[in-house]
Amino acid sequence: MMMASQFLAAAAERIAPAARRQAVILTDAAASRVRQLLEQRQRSYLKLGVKSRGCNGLSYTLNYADDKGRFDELIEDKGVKILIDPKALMHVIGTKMDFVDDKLRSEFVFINPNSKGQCGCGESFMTTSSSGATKQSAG
Amino acid sequence: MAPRTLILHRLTAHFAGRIRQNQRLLSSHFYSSTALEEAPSSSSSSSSPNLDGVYMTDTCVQKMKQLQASEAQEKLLRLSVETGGCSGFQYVFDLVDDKTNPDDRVFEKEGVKLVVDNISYDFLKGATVDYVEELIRSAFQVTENPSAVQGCSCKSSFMVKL
Repeated sequence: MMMASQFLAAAAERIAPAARRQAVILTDAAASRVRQLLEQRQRSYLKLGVKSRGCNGLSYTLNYADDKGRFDELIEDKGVKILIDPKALMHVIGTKMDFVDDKLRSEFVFINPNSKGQCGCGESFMTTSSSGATKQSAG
Repeated sequence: MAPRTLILHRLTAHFAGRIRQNQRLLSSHFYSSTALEEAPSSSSSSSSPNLDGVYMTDTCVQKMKQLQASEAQEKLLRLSVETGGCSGFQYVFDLVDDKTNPDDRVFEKEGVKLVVDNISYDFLKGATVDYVEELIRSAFQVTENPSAVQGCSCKSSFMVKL
């Protein structure tokens, strides 16, 4: 009994930081694009957020940021730093951020396992927690 | 007897007038619809006063010229409307070598050509194509479309006004 709980506690300790580190992961393409943007503009972070908008609940926002807010989640992956707005965190956990660049478009793409249904452009998405949020904002 | 013939005269005159009016309406409709069919050939020049063309912004034209510079062959921007997206229809952009169908419409500005197939054109009359650059994405977008009810905020999907 005691061994099992000790084992679980030890396992949880090891997994928890890893789980937090994995909140959002970046592909190589996304990381190099972020690096390029931050170097070009001489800014410290890109900040990822969500806003209630679009046809299907939420859409992603991306802005430059120089300071980490007190409750911002800092993600360091592949040598770049991304901040996640605390309000967005529960909607984007597990998201993979990619960057596609072809002749017609170049854009950040978010592959979000929480997402239920997406807009054609992929910008608008809905999660189980967001449908409540949109109802609240509409009400 | 006299009153009846009078009524008869008045009735026939009335109906004759109505028939003439209907003929006038039909012939004017016929002329106006043929004028619309002829319009595509004249709307290919941007200076045409036709309000049902599909327009490109200067930024869009500039981007196309940039793309063209790195291409050996002349490229056209194809815009089509497909079903899908969260609001019913969505816009699809493509770079093509030439128009595929004989009834495709081509709109030109400063040497840059925009191709729209006949069916999509019904949903794109008077629309404007822009190239929007933001941090999160840079892409061609339809920024104004009189045929569409404001659908998706990202402007890739829309609903048609009935």
